Amino acid sequence: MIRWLSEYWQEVVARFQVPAGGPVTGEAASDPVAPVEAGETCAFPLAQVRPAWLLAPLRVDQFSSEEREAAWRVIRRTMAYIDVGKVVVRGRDWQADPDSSSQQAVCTEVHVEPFWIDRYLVSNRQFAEFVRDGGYRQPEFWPQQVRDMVYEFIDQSGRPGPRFWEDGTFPAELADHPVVGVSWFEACAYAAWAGKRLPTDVEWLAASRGPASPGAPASGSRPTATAEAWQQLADASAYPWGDLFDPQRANLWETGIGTTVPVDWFPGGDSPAGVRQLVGNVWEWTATAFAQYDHGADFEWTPLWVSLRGGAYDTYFPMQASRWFQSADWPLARRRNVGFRCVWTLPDGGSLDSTIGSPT
Amino acid sequence: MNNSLTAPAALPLTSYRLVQSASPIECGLCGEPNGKNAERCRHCGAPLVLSQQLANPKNAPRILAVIGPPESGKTCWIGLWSDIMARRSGHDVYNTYGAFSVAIQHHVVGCLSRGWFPPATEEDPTTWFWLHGSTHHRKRRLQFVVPDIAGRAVTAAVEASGSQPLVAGLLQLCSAILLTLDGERLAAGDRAPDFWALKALHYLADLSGPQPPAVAKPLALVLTKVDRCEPARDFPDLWLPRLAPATFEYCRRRWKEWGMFCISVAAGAGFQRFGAHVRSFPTRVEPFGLEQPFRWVLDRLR
Ligand SMILES: Nc1nc2c(ncn2[C@@H]2O[C@H](COP(=O)(O)OP(=O)(O)O)[C@@H](O)[C@H]2O)c(=O)[nH]1
Ligand SMILES: [Mg+2]
Repeated sequence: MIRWLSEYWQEVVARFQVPAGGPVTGEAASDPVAPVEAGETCAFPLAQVRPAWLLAPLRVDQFSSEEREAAWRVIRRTMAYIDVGKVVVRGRDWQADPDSSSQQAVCTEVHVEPFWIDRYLVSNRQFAEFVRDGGYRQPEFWPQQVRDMVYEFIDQSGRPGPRFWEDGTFPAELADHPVVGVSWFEACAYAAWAGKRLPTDVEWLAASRGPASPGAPASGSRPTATAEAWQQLADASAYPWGDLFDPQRANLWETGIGTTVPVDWFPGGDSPAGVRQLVGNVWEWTATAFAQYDHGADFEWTPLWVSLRGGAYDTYFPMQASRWFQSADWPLARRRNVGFRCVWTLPDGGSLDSTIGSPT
Repeated sequence: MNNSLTAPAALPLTSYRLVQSASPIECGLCGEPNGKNAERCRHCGAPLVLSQQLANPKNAPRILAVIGPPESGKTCWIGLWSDIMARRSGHDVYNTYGAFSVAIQHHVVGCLSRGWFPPATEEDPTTWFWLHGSTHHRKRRLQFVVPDIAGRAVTAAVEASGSQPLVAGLLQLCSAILLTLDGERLAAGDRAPDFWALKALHYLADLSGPQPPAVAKPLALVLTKVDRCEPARDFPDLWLPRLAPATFEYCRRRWKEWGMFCISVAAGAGFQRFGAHVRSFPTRVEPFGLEQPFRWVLDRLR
């Protein structure tokens, strides 16, 4: 099992080292979260539930322009457009003396293509659409190598679904909580079903970038004249809102809740780009291997760890939920405090205009 | 002992008072004499200010003995638990006495927050941590002492009683026992932690006198590192008997009050090589269940 997983893992890492998708034009900055538009749910359920899937170039011609526009409205409401150019990744220096308190970070500047990212974590309610649609039984969403194992991704009653569900569904009171108890493969399968994918580590960092300076308005305008300086300042912030941890803005141990909360809580913790709960509530699976941007890592065994970001309700040290900390887990782990969100890029360099007609 | 004319008025550390006493100090745990400037007993290594209080039959703090084989997670547990308690406010407030009581919290939290597990506790008792604290208990404050005993010293005491006067003294005096069983090793099918626990319990039973019907000291069996045997996490009563059957059976037959618990400090661990040796690190710190075993034994103290 280790060998095929390792091979598969190499493939994944290779695939995600360069973020997919070419240059994207059009929409420059994301809007604030728009109110739900009445009518769109009933008229075009597919546009509501799987807008990115519907808009994929291969498929988009099968849908009416009303349906496509509905899908775009949903995208704009539920996802944020991130176009930051470069991101500074702070890696860990594993050769530094463990018993010395001065810890030097290893900084790498990485270019990121523009992308859309879910403003919210994927909720139980959303994940249930995937389960109901037979997502666990559709081979196209599962890599060849895990297909034999999909039958092990079951809930408490032995039905396909997240680990802590029962009878193929979630506890009613947790409908809007983030889905947890899903392995990395289940997260990938959901993303594929939705027409999206998991964010790379660097994309997660780009989406969580903080305000340019302490006290700046969260969605303040970007001073183009000093774009470079602005970027450095924003990349230097530990949290999406600034440099100091604030238990009012995120669900960590210190907040005292001790369990997951609905995906739309803690608006005070939004990143300037309008993405919620990047820090706190649950850890987020990414599409990147652990320690990829670190220096001197020499682990005793190669655990095929996936990078996790952002901390969870039981994260004890706020710093471990910050943008400067990377955690990890085995891709088959189904933890009670690990969930995910998805990103979307238009493949093949297709511009917004050519794909959707009129984006506005 | 305390000369109020010469004692500086504002020194908070009680250990400094000992410095002023004229006669050599007798260690309360091993009974050996020490020079008047000694902080720690030069025979057994106990902090003298504590060992004297512990030997005082009236109002002595209660010893909660955390024992387990080396590397079973004792130091991490005690250190992080004391940090959690120290951050608590309101009804259940917790106090520590003496700067030495903060040392374990400082050491463990310092390492964990830098992304490493603390290095192993040395066998030399003069380097052990001692936590002297108090908490709310049945409408009054209860003082307790938690020594961070090196696993190897307990192993040595069990194999040859007499070789470890401090360990023997502590286990004789203690009011409750918290015994750690390494969940990672047990889950991997290694029975060694089960047998270690069994031997230690035999030793403790022998200390408490010739064949009483049941051993009275409250005993918490604590399965550590449950992040490495996750199914057990919420079901210690189900899993502990399966993972450590010999210990479980022995407790059922010989112990009067005992309970089973699962704890973990981290969500996982990795190992980084430094030349010839390795150092373990937590993938992230997520305390689970650290308070319950202590709460449980404190509630059972008479
Ligand atoms: N996975 C995991 N490993 C742990 C945990 N606590 C401790 N460890 C590991 O166990 C080792 C020994 O821990 P320590 O507290 O020093 O044990 P002691 O010798 O019994 O005091 C650490 O270096 C870690 O590698 C935990 O909660 N989870
Ligand atoms: Mg230790």
